Amino acid sequence: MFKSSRKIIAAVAAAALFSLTALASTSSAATGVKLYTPYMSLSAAPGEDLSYSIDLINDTDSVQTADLSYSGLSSDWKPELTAGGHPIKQLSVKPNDSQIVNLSVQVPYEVAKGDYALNVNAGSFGSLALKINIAEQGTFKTELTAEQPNMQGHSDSKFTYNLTLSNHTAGKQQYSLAAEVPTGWDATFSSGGTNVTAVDIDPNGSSSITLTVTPAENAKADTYQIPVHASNSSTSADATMEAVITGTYGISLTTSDQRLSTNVTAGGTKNLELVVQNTGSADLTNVSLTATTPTDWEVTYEPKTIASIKAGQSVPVTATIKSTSKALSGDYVVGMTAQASEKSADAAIRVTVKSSVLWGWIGVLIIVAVLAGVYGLFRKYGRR
Amino acid sequence: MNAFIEKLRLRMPRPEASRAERSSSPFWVMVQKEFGDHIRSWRFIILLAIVTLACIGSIYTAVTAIKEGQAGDTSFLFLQMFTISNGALPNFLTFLSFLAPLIGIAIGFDGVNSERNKGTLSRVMSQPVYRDDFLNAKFVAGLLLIAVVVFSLGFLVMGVGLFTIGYPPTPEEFWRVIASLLITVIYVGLWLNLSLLFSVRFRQAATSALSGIAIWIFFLVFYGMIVNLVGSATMPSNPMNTDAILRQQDWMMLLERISPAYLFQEAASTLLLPDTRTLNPFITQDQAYLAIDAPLSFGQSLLLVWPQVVAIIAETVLSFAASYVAFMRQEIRSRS
Repeated sequence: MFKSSRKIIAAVAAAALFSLTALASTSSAATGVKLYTPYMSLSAAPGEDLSYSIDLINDTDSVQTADLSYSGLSSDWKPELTAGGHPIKQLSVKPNDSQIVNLSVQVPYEVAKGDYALNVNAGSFGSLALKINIAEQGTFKTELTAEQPNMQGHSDSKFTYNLTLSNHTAGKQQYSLAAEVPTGWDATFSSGGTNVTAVDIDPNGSSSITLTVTPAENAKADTYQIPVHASNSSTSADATMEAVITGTYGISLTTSDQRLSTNVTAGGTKNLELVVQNTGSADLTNVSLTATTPTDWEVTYEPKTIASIKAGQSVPVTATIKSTSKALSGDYVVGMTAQASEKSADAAIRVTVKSSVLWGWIGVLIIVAVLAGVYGLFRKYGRR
Repeated sequence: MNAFIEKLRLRMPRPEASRAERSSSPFWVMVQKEFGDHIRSWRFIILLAIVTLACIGSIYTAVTAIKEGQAGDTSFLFLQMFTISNGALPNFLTFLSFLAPLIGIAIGFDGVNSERNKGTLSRVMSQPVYRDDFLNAKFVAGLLLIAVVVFSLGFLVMGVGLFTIGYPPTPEEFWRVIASLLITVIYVGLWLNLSLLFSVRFRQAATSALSGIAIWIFFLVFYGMIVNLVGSATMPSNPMNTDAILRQQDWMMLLERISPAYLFQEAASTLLLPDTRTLNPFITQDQAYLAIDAPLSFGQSLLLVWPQVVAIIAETVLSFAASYVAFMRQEIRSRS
């Protein structure tokens, strides 16, 4: 196609010279012209676009003009001849030059398997018989695809799937969208930033749809299948998304009445009703209860260990706090820990130590004894 | 006392009066008379002036300290009126523990011997009153007077506190103050009884006054020094021997607590400082581990100092009993 500028000048000069004589004998010039394209037989899938580049070669000494046309395919295939970006019907080629014509063909979605012939006629240049082999049966359907149908996350995260809904049908379709999520879950479709329940798609068009799935708060650790449907009365498409919820581990330790304070007599014991709760979405195993106590204090639990706690369940535990008689009156902190294999929880119990009232009564007794002694003195010395 | 005898005479013309009336009425008449005599005496007015001045000084120092922001923890701000000081003057509690015994000594030191010397004792005894009523009346009138003085001072501090810091006491703070004032009354009653005992024992009022003041100075000034001296003398030679040091400190504490002044200070300051959790000089690591710095409730504070309170009450009652026995055993002659 590309020639040096010198050759172009020579060709233009030659064309000017011979054009006068060429007018008289156009038919005889047919021997020096050809049509050429490299791909004579192509395989294509339904919906695919094919593009041919056809060279019109003029080896004669005169300008050759040709009417361009094609035949052999139905209008579904939308064959089109273009040159220089425009549809073209007629073309001239300078002597000893060539021109390129593009032929584009769109294989329809609804096409039978087999060979299809396409003839390109270029008048005096002759014709080209092209073959298109359709390797598979064409479809007439809607497609729903996802970039990444499988996602993983915690139960408190959101799952966002990017879906593409393609309308491979001949007509414009309105699809209603639905996602089957487990109970308590929430699914919303959005297209172009707004939440939608239905989308309109032109034939052979597609729309990108975002599906946002919010799992239920207490969703257990599992793999969840979420079938998604885009359907109307005539066509439908399905796809299945997967949401993999990884379990969260949560444990809480508190008292049965939520009060984190208690009191105990110095040297005495006190029972405290505790509740160990699994606040996560996965089971906890081997929960053992321990305590950080002031020196010489003892905390015993009943039960001391819990084999497993199912997600969302709670287990009552009785803690017995035994204080030492040497404890000062006032407040102490007893730290209690519920330690599961997966996670642990602490509770700081404020224990107010009260001194024993026994010595108080002994003091009262001493005072009473002394007063009785004085009364005795009164009796002995006073009223005689 | 002469007017009192006249009053007795007025009452006496009713011999047919019931036994109950005879036994109680003369006693309360004597108490009233005694009380009135004290109130009007110069001695009492001077003492009261000294104590009041000292209290006003301590209020001033407390108020300045609070205004300067020395009251770190404001949870018991009102009680700090009694315990805080800006360093220039001692706080109210210290003043009270130092000066209040003087009121007791001043009221009691010539209670019996001056009457005996003036001859009024035999004249009273010639009336149809029980002999012990005389001493009981002296004691009860003195104690009432002390109660009036102590509570007036206490309420003065509370009032000035309300006025200056504008922060009303909580019920707990109020009861803490009332309880510590009650303990103060009993403590001063102990000194009253001691001086009554001296006034029974010694014929000369000056001797009994001096004895009372001697004991006062001994317990408030010298006793602490003596205990310190004993403490440093008996200090275990090995400072690493914790057990020995603890044992020695316990002994020192016991010695200190023989002094009623020390008992009173412990009792009153614990009641007025709710943060006090123990009266031991040492808190072991074991006891302090995981303990929270939080104030005690009133009941717990009272329970903490209950031994001290019992000791003060018992000492007061015992000293009264001693003076009672001494008085009852004495002969009463006119102009003896």
